[in-house]
Amino acid sequence: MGSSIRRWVSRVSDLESQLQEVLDASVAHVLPPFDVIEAVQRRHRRRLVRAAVASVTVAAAIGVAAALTGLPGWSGPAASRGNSNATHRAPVFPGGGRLLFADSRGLKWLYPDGKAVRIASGFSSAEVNGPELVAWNTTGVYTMALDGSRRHLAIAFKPGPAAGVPQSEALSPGGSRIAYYVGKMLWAADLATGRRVQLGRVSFDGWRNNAAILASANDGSALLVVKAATGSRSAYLSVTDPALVRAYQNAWPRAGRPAGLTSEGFSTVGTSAALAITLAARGPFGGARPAEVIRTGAGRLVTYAPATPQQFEFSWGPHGLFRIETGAGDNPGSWNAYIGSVQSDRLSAAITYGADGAAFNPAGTVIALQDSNQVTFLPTPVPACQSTACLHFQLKYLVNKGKLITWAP
Amino acid sequence: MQVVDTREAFEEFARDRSAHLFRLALMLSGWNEAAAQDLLQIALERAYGRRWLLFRDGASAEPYVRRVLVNAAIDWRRGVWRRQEQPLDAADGLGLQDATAVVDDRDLLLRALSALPPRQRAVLVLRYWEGLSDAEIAAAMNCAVGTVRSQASRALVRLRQQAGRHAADGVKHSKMGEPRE
Repeated sequence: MGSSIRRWVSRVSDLESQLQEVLDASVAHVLPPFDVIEAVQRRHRRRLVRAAVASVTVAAAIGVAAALTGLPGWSGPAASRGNSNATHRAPVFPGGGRLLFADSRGLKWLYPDGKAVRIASGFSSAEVNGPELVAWNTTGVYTMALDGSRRHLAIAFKPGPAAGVPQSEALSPGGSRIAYYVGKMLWAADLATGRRVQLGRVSFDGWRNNAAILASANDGSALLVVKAATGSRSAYLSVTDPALVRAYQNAWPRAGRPAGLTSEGFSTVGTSAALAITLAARGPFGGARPAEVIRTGAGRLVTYAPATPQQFEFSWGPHGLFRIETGAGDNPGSWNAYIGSVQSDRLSAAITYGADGAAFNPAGTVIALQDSNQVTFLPTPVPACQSTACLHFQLKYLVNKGKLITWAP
Repeated sequence: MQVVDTREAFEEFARDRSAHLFRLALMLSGWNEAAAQDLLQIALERAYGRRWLLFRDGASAEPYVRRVLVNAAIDWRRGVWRRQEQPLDAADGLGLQDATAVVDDRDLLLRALSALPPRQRAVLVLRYWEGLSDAEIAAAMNCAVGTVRSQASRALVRLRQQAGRHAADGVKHSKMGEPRE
């Protein structure tokens, strides 16, 4: 018995020499149990599309309110449906409207009174398009009423593993087309005619309008416009554009010229469209000193560059609001979010929520920030809220399984 | 000017290095396979998103990916996944469990490693499995070289203490009628 301890103690004197052998043995012949490239690209596309979803669905949702009031068979959110319990209960989240979640069972609305209504089982995601929902799963893209009724198959995906699984769907601003990936190929399909066009291996940045897609070149040198009907491409914006270079160097005077750019697409602000462009210099571990340059409809360039942003993600909200998420030192534990508005060149103070997504309410006064199964509600912070309305309330938390998709009226 | 297809360069990198990186993720996560899968995807997805800068000159993206892996393992998304320091007995499922219940030195050492705080385990894995210098480890962990050395020293002391305690526990259990050797 004692010999066991003695044997151990004698061995630990050359512990360091044993470590390599033990570590080697512990992972010998271990391989990733999944297709790494496919999994990584799928994850990446989801993140890119999330930005598009945030801008497109919220913009579309703004138009829903008026349409809903005249919609037969629709009786509005739970709080106004004569639910006696609801009228006496404190809302589970502020900001009004209703939240759309997707979980393993399908889609569900969550109302401020806490009532959850499942509307479409078997669907993985959706976007609100005026008075209807465009939802999809592996069999196809469907249009349906906001309550899940009147379901119509608009695009049927080919079954079978050889055809590939469509992913990263993104609806065009007017809802007439949908873009999606099958493997590495980007496709665009017309929801009215069902016609599909293969757009090739391009990096989807967002819809430019109903007829064209904005994509970034693989080498980061330019943004391209790809026509959805034909797949033809044309250059849109170069990283060497003098105005862009000046805007970037205003934020990072000593960073030199930007080495690459990508885009997070357009957002409607008033009657014009603003374009978000991420620029970065070359750095020892890839992109360094990234900055977001927003080109407003009037051609004005506004630059935002939070401190130590080695990780940098941008997503649009309504009314020219947006969210920038950053992390220092590639440490996800240090991620911060900042809220801004195109009408101000200053960002909010750092917010430490929202690692897994976010959505503004349609009025732009409240933001929901998701971290795993927790959603945190904050008033849109200053100075961004000055373009909408500045509310004051304590943080509210909601525990809810599923991915937050959008916040609709 | 040579134009590099950064998407293909990324795929080539992922094909060549994903097995090695998955093994690294497995060790950094304390031999938690599910966590290792997630860590690998986090790190490679970051590299994929920056492929136009990482791969355009044909330079190796591995230091960047390793750095993301290490830091994600140490502090995964602000506490969404935060490993508690584990007692040795909780570190089940390791590859070197001995079915005969004989105290095996390698098994003990592996269990002790899995019970280390993530930062200390990362230093040992990078030093003794990856063969990195302390300066390279400091770059990967975004800390000072002195911090690397102090973490390594504490980790080694802790390994000796924990593994020794576990061996002593083996003696106690044996005296209660479960012979260990």
